[in-house]
Amino acid sequence: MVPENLEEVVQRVKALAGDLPVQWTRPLPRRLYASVAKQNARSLAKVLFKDSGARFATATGTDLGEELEVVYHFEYDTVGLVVNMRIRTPKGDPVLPSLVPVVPPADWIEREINDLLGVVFEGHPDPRRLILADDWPQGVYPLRRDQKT
Amino acid sequence: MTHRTIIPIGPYHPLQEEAEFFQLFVEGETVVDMDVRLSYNHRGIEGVSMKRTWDQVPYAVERVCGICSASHPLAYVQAVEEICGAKVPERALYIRTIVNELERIHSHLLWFGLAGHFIGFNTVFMWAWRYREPSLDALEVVSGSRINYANHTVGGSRLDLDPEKVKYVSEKLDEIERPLDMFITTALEDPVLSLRLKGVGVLTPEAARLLGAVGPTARASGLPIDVRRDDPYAAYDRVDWDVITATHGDVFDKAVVRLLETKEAIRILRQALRDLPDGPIQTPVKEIPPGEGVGHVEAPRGETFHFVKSNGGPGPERHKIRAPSYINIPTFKATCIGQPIADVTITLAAIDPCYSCTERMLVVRDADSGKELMDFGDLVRLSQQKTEQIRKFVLS
Repeated sequence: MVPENLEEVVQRVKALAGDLPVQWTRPLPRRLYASVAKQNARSLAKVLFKDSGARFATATGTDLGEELEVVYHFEYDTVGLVVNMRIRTPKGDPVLPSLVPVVPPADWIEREINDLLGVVFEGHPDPRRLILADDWPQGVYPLRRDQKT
Repeated sequence: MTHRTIIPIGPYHPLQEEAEFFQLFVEGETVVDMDVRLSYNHRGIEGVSMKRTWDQVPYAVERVCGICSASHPLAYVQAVEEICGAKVPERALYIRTIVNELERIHSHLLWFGLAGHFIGFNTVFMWAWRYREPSLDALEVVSGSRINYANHTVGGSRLDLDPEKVKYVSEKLDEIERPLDMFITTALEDPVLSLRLKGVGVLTPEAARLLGAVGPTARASGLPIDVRRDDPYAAYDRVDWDVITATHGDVFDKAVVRLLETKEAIRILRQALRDLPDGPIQTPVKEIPPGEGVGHVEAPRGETFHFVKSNGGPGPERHKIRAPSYINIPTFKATCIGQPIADVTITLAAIDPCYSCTERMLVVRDADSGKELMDFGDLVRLSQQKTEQIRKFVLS
């Protein structure tokens, strides 16, 4: 079997993803960004991790002011492609679907984002604290913008 | 009636830089379950980084880890260079390669020594650390420091190499290479090591992929992934080298992969020192425009992943750091359940986690529950006893 080249992988991923993502951007040949609505996040993660064989790297949670953003990073090692899957949710409703049922290695990082930013991951099998100390006060999220240090 | 014992490991250990706390649930000799608790050493470096300027961050993030103190800054500066589109001069790319491969040598030899200690080969410990010294000397000459090299800057490198330094580093490599060949022969041929480590702590390729394992942990299970080749950075696509893989995924293969990788690192270094191009080492970088960038680097333990977001301000708006151990430690659970406790220390050590397991703090208050405590010293002793038994068996 001839190994796929970069363009073939990108085309295959885009075809499998269909109209799940709201938007694709590709600032560099090996960097792909997909914005996805909350309700489609788990389906797109399944396409990336299970159906097209990406490796899960990690996720980044950010407080954007009005919204909270989580970017999940997937990698296709054979071609060095990094696919970043972006989900946003209003701060007033900090709930996102957990990807752990389809992407098991997202376990720790979702717990960490919950600790640091207060994003609640619905359907996480083990939503205990990971990063913060046991005696850290409830409802104080160190990476929120309104958090004074 | 099964008698279940809890063995707490951690959270503090003077040898390494990160504190973790493992609870092993043991029935008889066999580990049946475990739980991991980490972040005792959470210093909020991501938060610290977001309050620094673009130029200050590399010095903050090299303190993420004392061993990978070249990998983290490099991943960060690559992410920022991705945002601003800076073209790094060729000479700086080679210098980055030299610093990072020297780091790999010292990290892998450090690991080899510790692994020897855990299974009762204290001679290996002494020798490996003795021959790790030249790599630290070389790093000191190249960067001015044995640790925390502060050599990667956005758009280039901080210090240049003159011919005298190039010669010094080459000589240090000669000092390392011969004993390294001896280590490799010893590891491959020693009957006790084979009996002790083969088939121990096996990570299957399926589990490695499912858990997202990286670095030698993944490569020993036959996953041919290496950021240096897959998404080339620095000068890795300009030199000739091989990605080392093995097939069994056990502790033995993880050791072999690391030793052969150290050999490859010397091969990369010799070419980089030979081909070092002339020219500047820094390209001017003024402002960082708004945008996002990914920087990932093959650290000694596997891929370190940095994601940087800029809003056009003086420093990162968000800087995410994922060290390789973060994704590799969960593989420990997959490899140690069903193992005898005497194999736990070396199975954990085989991931080379930035780990800290030692005399811990948990106090079991209920004396009637039958819970007993063993500490890390007991575990190392058990592990060493098992090696001793095998050694006697082989000699008899």
